[in-house]
Amino acid sequence: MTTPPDDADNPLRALLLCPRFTGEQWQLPVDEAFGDRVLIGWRTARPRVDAGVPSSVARLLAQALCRHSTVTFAKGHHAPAGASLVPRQWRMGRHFEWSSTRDPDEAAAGMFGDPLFPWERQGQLALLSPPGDIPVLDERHLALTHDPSMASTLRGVSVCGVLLPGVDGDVAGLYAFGAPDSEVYQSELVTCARERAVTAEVLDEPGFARSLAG
Amino acid sequence: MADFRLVSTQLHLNYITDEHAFVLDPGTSGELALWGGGPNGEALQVESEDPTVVQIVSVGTASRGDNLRDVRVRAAGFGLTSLSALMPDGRSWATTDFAVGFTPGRMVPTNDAPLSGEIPFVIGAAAIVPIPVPGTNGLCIQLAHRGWAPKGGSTSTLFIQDALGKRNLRLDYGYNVKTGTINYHWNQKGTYQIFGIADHTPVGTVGKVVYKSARYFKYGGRVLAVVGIALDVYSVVQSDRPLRQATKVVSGWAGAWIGCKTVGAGGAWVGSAVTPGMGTAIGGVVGCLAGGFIGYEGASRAAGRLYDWAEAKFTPVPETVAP
Repeated sequence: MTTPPDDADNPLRALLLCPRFTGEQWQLPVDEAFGDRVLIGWRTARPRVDAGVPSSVARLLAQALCRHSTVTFAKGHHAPAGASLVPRQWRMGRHFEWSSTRDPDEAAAGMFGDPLFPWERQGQLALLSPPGDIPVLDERHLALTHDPSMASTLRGVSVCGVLLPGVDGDVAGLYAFGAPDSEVYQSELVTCARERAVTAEVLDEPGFARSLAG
Repeated sequence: MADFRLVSTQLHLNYITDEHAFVLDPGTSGELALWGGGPNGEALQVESEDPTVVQIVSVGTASRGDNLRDVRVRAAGFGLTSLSALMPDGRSWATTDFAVGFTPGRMVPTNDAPLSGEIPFVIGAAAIVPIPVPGTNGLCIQLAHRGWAPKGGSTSTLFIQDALGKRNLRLDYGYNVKTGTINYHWNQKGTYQIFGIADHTPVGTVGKVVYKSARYFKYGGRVLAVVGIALDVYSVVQSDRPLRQATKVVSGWAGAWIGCKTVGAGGAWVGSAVTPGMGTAIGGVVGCLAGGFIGYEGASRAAGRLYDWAEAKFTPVPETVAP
């Protein structure tokens, strides 16, 4: 696992936030049952040529989340044999494990840099639990990326929020269904942005889309 | 009783015993004999069923003893017909098939027509085999993603990626955050220096066609590969020399695999020179198909010959009792 490439020559200019988004084009759950939500995007000084989350954004997101939560993400070992030919079940312990941390660097590398669970192909997710709590998860919870109904199973395993990759990994959906709520995370994201001299913009959905397009 | 008989000194007229038929060379004439007559000694009249094939020139009197009559015929055109010896009331009393220009024969269905899975296997292999792209430090053309993906798979259908999928160029369909519209576009990570294609670059009509073709080819190709393997296995089971056939089949598979990768790499290289990205993929797949067929055919034939040579060389001669 590696840290996402540094974008030192293309610095982060703005962190974009859109609470209670409803558009399906983001390829994120908009079901109320999935919890309170905020859409997160970013704008760099110049258009990026590479997919994925810029390292500056990865660190900012990880820091904001780790200040209030333990972050748990999928960490790949190896793909099941023949998985590129036929659908195969990924087994926990054998093909991947759930890794929990409160270290921002480790969380950033895990969430956005695992090639077997690629964020930019919506193959990763981060589960948020109260500090010190390690949620008990299994392979079924990978389905959270595409099955919002799985959210109901999370409350029983001390998960209070989840960060999901949106379309092409260019946006992220932050969902909170317990304490701390999404406003706490949103406030923390704004704080972390300001600490880095990055503008934090809270936008409506059309404004968010326009700002994202640059 | 009556029948037609071959006269011995004929150069251009033959009788094929198994087919019960006379054969006359085109543009020539010949003589045969009609033996016998009607039940009460009636004289028989000889007729050709199709005078455009063979014509009756003359029918002689019983001059060869024992009621044998010369019948002179001339080839009028290619074909198959019959000659009949008719009673005065028109009933046929003797008949024979008569061909001009070819040997008559019957089509007999064969039970051991060779089955081969070559075509479906090779087409299927092109959908499965990672086709290397030269000069890219390990990128391959594939129709499947690497790593975990949500249920329903990826929204991309064509991938040029490394072994881990970490560096990749993929043809995608969906919302494009750079254009603010839903369209067909490239997504890429770590391949900009090679292809010069930035993330979210929209593709035109060709890209749309390639995207959809790749989707159908991915699933259709897998089915074809399975069908090809099944046909080849069946050909081994049905063969009267199953070990030889198995050797040919397995060699064919290996040859197709190697040919696909080798010629596919060449096609990808040529395609990259024309249009990096789209040309790379199209050239690679076309090259893979060509190389696959060449590889399968060549390896299969070589294996068959090698097997025959080895069998002749090393099969022990049966022991015989010394005199």
